[in-house]
Amino acid sequence: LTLTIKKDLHLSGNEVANSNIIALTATLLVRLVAGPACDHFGPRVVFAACLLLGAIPTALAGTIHNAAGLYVIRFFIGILGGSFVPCQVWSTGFFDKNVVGTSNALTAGWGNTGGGITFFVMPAIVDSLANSRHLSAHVAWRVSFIVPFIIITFITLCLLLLCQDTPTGKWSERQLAVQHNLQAHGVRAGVVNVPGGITDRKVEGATTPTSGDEKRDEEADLAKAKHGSFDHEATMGEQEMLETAQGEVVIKPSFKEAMAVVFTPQTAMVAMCYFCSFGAELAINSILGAYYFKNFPKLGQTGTGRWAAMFGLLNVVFRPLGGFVADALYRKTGSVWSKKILLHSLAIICGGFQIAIGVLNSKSHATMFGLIAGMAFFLEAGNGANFALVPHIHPFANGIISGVTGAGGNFGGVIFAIIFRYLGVNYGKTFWIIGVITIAVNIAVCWIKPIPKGQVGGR
Amino acid sequence: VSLPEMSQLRVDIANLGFYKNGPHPDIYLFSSSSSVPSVTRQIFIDHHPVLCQQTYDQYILKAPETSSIMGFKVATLWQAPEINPVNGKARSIPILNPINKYGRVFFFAWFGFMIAFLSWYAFPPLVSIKTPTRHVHPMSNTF
Repeated sequence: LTLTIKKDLHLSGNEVANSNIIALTATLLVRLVAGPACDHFGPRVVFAACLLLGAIPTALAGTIHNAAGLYVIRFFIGILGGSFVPCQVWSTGFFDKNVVGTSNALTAGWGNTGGGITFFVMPAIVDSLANSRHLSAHVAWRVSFIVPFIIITFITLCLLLLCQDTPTGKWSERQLAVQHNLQAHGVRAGVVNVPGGITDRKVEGATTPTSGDEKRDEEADLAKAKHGSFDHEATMGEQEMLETAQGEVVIKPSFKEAMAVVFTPQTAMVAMCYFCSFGAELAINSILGAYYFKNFPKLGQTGTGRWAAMFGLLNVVFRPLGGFVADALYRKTGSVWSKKILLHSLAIICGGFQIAIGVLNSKSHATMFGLIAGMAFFLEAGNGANFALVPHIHPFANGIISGVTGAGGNFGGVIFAIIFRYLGVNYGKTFWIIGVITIAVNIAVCWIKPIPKGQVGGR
Repeated sequence: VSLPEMSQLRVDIANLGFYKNGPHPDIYLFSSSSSVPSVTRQIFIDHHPVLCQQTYDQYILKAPETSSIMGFKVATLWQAPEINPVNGKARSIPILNPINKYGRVFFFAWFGFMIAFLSWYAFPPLVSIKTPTRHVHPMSNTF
C-alpha cells in the first residue's frame, strides 16, 4: 500500500478516532434494538436484516470523499456488529440446554476470528487490486469494499433461503408447534398461551379442559398425524416436557415486559460480567499492537500488528473451551450455579493476569506474550461461559437479555477505550486498572442467584 | 421367540406407578397404539413386577456403540442429533454436517457473523497501515 485512506481523505488523527467511536456506538445501539427484535420477528430474519442493512453502506464505502462521509458510512456499517445478537439467539433456539453453551461459544468464537482474518485479508485485497489490476491506490481501496459486499449479500441470501426460524418451522407458529408436540406425546395441553390470532380447531379443543382420556388419545393421534414427531427423540419426563413448553418458548414482548426483563439483577449480572470481559477484549484488541510496539520496537509495526492479531485469533479455541467446560459442569452437577461459579472464577483469574501484565510491564517477549495468552484464555473462556449462562436466565425473553448483554460488552469497550485514551501510552497502568475493575465487578455480583425466583424452564 | 440381549425393553406406562416421576434410564415408554412386533414378558425392577414388551424395532434401530473420547461421542460431530421432543432443539451439535437442519443453522450462525467483520473491521487496517508516526499503530484503531 502506498496510499492509505487516512492520507487519501486528508484525515486528522482525531477524525479517525471519532470515526472509530461512531462505529462502536452504532453497534451498541443496534445490539440493544436487535435483542427485542429477535423475540418479535425471529433471529433468522433479524440476522439477515443486520447483514443486508450493513452490506448497503459497505457497497457505498467507495464514495467517501471527506471525514463527514466516513462518519456516516462507518455508523451504518456498525449495524453489522449487531449481528452478534441474532447469531447467539438463533444458536440458542436450535440447541438444547445440555449443549447450548458449546454452540453459543463456538458460533461467537469462530465468528469473532473474522476480526483477525479481516486484518490480513482486506489489505491483501487492496494490494492485489493495486498490483495485479494496476488500479491506483486511490481507486483500489474504494473498489476493495465490493468484495465484502458481494460475500455478505450472497451468504445472507443463502442463510435466508436455506435455514429455518426455529427447529419446528415458522417463527409465528412456534407456540402452536410446541403445543402439538405436547399433544403428540400424550401430555395434557392447554398450558401454552397460543396467540389469539391463530385459530385452530384442535387447539381450541385442547385448551378447554373438558376432554377425557379418550379424547386426549384421539387428539394425540391427530396432532401426531399433523405434526409428526422427530427422528431421534430424547426421553423426557412429563413434568420436564411441561416446564419446557411453559418456560422456554420465546414470547413476543411488550415494552413493559421487556423493561421488566432488562431490570432484573440476573440481567445486570451477565451484562456487567460481559462489560468487563468483552469490553476488555475490544479495548485491548485496539491498543495491543501499539503496546507491543512500545515495549518491543525491534519487531516493527508489521510484526507487532501480527502478534496483536493473535490475541483475537485465539478465539477459535479459547471461547469455545469456556462454553464447553460450562456445559460439562452443568451436565455433571445439574445446576446452573456451576456455570455461574465458572464465569466468575474465570473472570477473577483473568483480572489477576491483567494486573500482572500491567504491573510487570515486561520487556521480555516470553513473559509478555505468555501473560497475554494466559489472560486471553481466561478472558475469552469467560465470554463463552457468559453466553452459556444467558439462555438459562429468561428463556422466554432470550433475545432481550442477549441484546442487553451484548450491548453491555460494547459499552465496556467504549469505557475501557476511553481509559486507554486518557492514560495515553501508559498502557500498563490501564491494564491493571481494567484488572481491578474486573475483579471488583465480579465480586460485587457474585451473590446474585443465577435464576430469578419463580422462573420456569431454565433449570 | 427369543431375542438377543441387546434389544431394549419397552414398558407399559400403566405398570409403572412407582416410576411416575420419570422413566428409568434404560426403559422407553411406549403407547399402546404401537404396532411394532414384540413379545410380552414380566421382569422385575426394584422387586416390582412389570410387564414389558421386548421389541424388534428397538434392536434394529439401536445405534452401534460409537467410539468416545472421555465420554464424548465423536460421531455426534456429524450424526443427526438427538432431539428434545417438545421444542425440537438438538441435544448435540453436528459441527461437521452442514447438510443437517441443525448443522446448517450452526454453520450459517458462525459464518454469517464472521463475514460481518470483513466490512465492520475493514477500516482500521486500511485507514493508517503505513503511517510512519510512532503512536498511531495499525491496530490502534481496531475498535
